Amino acid sequence: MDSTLPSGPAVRIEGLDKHYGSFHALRKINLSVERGEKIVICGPSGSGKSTLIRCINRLEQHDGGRVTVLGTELNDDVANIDGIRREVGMVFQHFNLFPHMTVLENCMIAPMIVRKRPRAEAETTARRFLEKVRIPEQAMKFPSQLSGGQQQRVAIARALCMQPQIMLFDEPTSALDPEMIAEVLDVMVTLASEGMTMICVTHEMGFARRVADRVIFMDAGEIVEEAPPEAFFTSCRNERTRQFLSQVLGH
Amino acid sequence: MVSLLRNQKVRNTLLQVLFVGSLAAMVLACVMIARRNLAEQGITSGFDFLFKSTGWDVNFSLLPANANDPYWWFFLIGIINTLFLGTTGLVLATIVGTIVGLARTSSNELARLLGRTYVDIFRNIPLILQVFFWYAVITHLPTPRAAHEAFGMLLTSRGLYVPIPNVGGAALAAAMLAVIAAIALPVWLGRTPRLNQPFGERSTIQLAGAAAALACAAVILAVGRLPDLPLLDFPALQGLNLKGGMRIPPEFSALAIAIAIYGGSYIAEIVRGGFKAVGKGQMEAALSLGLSPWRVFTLVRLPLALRAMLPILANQYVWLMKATTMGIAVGFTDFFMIVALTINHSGQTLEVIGILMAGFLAINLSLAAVFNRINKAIALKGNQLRG
Amino acid sequence: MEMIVVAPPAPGRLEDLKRRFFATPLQALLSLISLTIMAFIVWKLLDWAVFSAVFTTGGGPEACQAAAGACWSVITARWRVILFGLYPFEEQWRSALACVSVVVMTVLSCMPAFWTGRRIALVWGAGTGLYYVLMKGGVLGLPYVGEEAWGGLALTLFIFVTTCLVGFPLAICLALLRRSDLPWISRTTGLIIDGVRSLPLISILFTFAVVLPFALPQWLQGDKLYRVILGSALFFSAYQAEIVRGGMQGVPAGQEEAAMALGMSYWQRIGRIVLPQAMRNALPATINQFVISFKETSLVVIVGFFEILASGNAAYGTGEWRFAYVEVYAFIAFIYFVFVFSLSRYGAYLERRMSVSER
Repeated sequence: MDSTLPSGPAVRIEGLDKHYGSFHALRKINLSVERGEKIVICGPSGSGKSTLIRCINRLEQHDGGRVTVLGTELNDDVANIDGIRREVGMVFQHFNLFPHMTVLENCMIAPMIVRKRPRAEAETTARRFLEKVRIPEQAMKFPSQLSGGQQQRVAIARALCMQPQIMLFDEPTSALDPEMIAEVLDVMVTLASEGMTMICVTHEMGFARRVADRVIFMDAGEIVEEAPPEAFFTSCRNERTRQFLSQVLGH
Repeated sequence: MVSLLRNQKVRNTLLQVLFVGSLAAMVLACVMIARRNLAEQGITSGFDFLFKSTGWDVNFSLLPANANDPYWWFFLIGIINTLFLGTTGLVLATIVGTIVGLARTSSNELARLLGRTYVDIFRNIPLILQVFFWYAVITHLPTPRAAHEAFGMLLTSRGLYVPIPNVGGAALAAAMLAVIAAIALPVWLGRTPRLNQPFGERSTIQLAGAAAALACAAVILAVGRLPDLPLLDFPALQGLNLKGGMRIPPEFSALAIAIAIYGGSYIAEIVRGGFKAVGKGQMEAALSLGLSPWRVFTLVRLPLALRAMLPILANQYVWLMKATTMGIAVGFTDFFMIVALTINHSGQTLEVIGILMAGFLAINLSLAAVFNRINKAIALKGNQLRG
Repeated sequence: MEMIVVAPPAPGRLEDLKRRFFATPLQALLSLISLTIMAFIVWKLLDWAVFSAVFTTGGGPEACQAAAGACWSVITARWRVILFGLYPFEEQWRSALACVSVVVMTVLSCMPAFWTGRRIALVWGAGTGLYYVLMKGGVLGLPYVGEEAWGGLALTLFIFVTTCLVGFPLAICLALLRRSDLPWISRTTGLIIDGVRSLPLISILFTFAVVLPFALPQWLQGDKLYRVILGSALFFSAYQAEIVRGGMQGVPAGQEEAAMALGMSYWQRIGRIVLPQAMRNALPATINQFVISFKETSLVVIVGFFEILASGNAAYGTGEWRFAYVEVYAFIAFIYFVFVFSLSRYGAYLERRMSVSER
C-alpha cells in the first residue's frame, strides 16, 4: 500500500450490519472518521462497540453494509484484507503479546515478515518505539516478566512498529490495575498529540474529554449519541446516555 | 479470473472441493486398480465367498468349527475369540492393576517401591516381546508325559490342562448366569427405591437375594450333572496323551498372561492417578466425622477415585481389545488372524479389509457405549466435585 | 499469639526404622510381605543372572545348558545377529555407527537449545541422512548393502526414526486440516483420523505391506520396508495430530487475533505464533507418544521384517542355543528398557519442569 493515499476519510462505515446467529450485534451503523481524528466509543457491555472496531480490520466479518478503510473497501477480496491490516494497528484488552518471544522480538516480527524489512532496520524501529512508550530497558525480557501496564505499552509499541495510519484500541485499560492505567493513557495521549488517527473503545472519560474529537455512545448495537466531548458530557440528549454517564462517572 | 481467485468465498469453496475431490479420486483409483488386479487373478468381487467353505481350520474356537464351514462362520468365530481373549485379558489386567495400583498408593514405603518397580519394568518392555517370551516359556514346558502338576492342573508344552465340572453344557451356562445374578442382585436391590424396608434391613434382603441365586446355581449344577461320573473331571495321562479336563492352548495363555502383566502396569498407573485425584479435604472431612479408616476408604476414597479413573480406564480397555491382534504373532486365531488367513486363501482383499474395519469399528463403538452407560450411571449428580 | 515449637527428639536409627515400617501391626505385616517378596525375587534373580550364570563361550552350548543359572554365552556368541541382523559381517561397524548417529540425534533433540523448527529439522535430517548413507553405502567407497540385508536393532531404530520423521509433519498437517474453518475439510480429516485411531496398528501394517501393492500402480509401490514405514507413520500421525490439536486449543484465541491484526498471513500466524506455543503445550504428551511408538515398532516383526525381535528369535531358534530363549529375550527386553525408560523419565522431568515454570 502506498503512502500517497487517495484522499477522503480514513474510515467510512455505511449501513453496517452484523449478526451472531440470531443475535443482532450491530444495526445499520453509519460512521465516518477523518484522517487525524480521534474517536472515543463508549457504551455498556454487549452494546457492540468492540464488534464495531473489530470490523474495521476484519477480525469480524460484517454481513451487511460497506466498510471502506483508507479508500479500500473490505470485501471478500483476500488481498484487500491483508493490505488493510498492515495499515491499521490494534491494541487489545488482554495485550495478546506473544509469550514465546522477547519484548524486542514481539516488536520486530511483524515488520520483518509482513513488511519484509531487514532485521537491523526492524530493530532500530522497535527500539525507537519502545523508547517512545518509555520502556526501552525491558527490551530483552519476556512478556510474562512485565507488569500489566508495561505489557500494554509494549503492545502499543508493537502495533506502532508497523507504522500504521490508523490505531484501534479495544478497551486497552480494562484489564489493568488502577495504578497502571495512567501510564498507558499517557502514552495514548502522546500518540494523539502527534496526529495519529485513533479509534478507542474505552470507559476512561477523562481521556475522552482530553483527547477525543468526537465521543460516540453505543447501546444495543446502535449509535445512540455522537458529539464533541464538551457537548457530550454537558448536554447529552438521550436518556440512556445520561444513565450510562452517571454510572461511569460515579455521580 | 484472477480477482475471482482472490475472493474468499470462491477460494473456500474451491479448496474444499479440491480436498475432498482429490481424496475421493485417490480412493477410487486404488479400488479400481485393485479390482483390475484381482480380476486378472480370476477373483470376482462381491461377498459370495462368505458362504463358501474355507478349506482350512482354526486352532482355537469356542464354537464348533471345521474346514467345511463357510467364511462367515469363521469371521464370527474370530470375533468371539477376540472378545473372549480381550475380556479375559481385561479382567486379569484389572486385577493385577488394582493390586499394583493399591500398592503404589499405600502408606507403606516398601509396598510402594515394589509397585513402582513392577510398573517401571513391565510398562517399558513392548507387549509383543512379552507375548513371545511367555509363548516360549510355555512351549518349553515338559511334554505331557513329564507334566508339572499343581492343584489338579497339568502344565505341559501342549498347553494348560485344567479340571472341568462334569456337567452338561446348557446346565453349565445356566449356572454361570445364576452366579452372575448372585453378584448383580444385591446391587440391583440396593438401588430399588420401592424396597424401602418393608421386610426389615435392606442388607438382609440383599444377602438373601444373593444366597437364593447361589443356591439356584448349586441346584442347576446338581441336576445337570452327567450321571455316573465324579463332579470334577481331572486331566490325566493316558498312554502318550492327556485325557480329561479342558486344554487351554499355549497361544491363548501366553497372550492372556502378557496382556494381564503389561496391561496391569498401565492400569496400576490409572488406579494411582484416580486415588491421587481424590482431594485431601474430602478424606479429612470423612475422618473428622469419626468414620473408621476402612469406611473412609469404601465410602469416600474408592467411589470418588473410581469416578476419576473410569474415562481413562475405558480408553485403556479399548487399547487392550485392539492388542488382541497380536494373536497373529503366536498363531492364535483371533479376528485379525482370520482376516489375514482369508486374504491369503480367498484373495477377496477389498471385501475382507472392509469387514476388518467394520469389525473393529463395531467393537470400539460398543465398548464406548458400554462405558458411557456406566459413566452416566455413576456420575455425580450436580457438580459438587468439579465445581 | 505465640507458639512454642518443640522439635521432636532426633530419633535413633532403630526408632526411625520402626516409625517408617512398623508403625502399626498392619504396616508391619505389609512391610514384611513386601520385604519377603523383594528378597525372594532379588535373590532368585541374582542367583540366576550372576552367581550361577555362564558368561563365556568356552564350554560351548552343552556346558552352558548344564549350568543352573543363566547362559549368557548365547549373547556372547550371537550378539551381532541380534544387533545387526544379516548385515554383512565385515561391514557391521557401519551398522553400529548408524545406530550411534541415531542415538546422538535423539539426545540432541532432547536439548532445549535445539527446539526451534529449523534446528530440529536440521538435526533429524542430518541424523537420518547419515544413517542412510552409512547403512546403504554405494558412495564414499562404502560397499552397497540393500535394505533387505538390514536388520536387528539398526532396523528397529531406522523404522522408528523414519516413522517420526514422516509422521510428525503429517500430524501437524492433519491437525491444521482438522482445525480448519472449512467444514468439509475438517470433517473429512476428522473421519480419517478417527478411522485410523479405531484400527489396531497391526492391521494397518498388514494392509500397507500386503494389500497395498494390489491397489497401487506399479511405479508407486516402492519397497515393502518403505510402505510399512508409511503405514506406521500414518498411525503415529493420527494420534500425534490429536495431541498437536490439543496443544493448539491451549493457545488463547487472542494470540491469533493479534497476529492477524498485524497483517500476518495464515502460514505466518501458524508458523510463528500458534505452532511454537502449541508444541510447547503438547510436549509431554508428544514424548509419551514417542515412547509408545518406539515400543510399537516391534510389531513390524509380524509383517516379516528382521528387526530386533525377529533377529532375537533367530539367535536362539536355530541349532544349539534352543534352550537359551530366556537369556535372549532378557537381553532384548533390556535394550528396549534402556531406550524406553530413559525417554519416559525425560518426559516426566519435562512435565515437572513445565508445571513448575507455569506457577
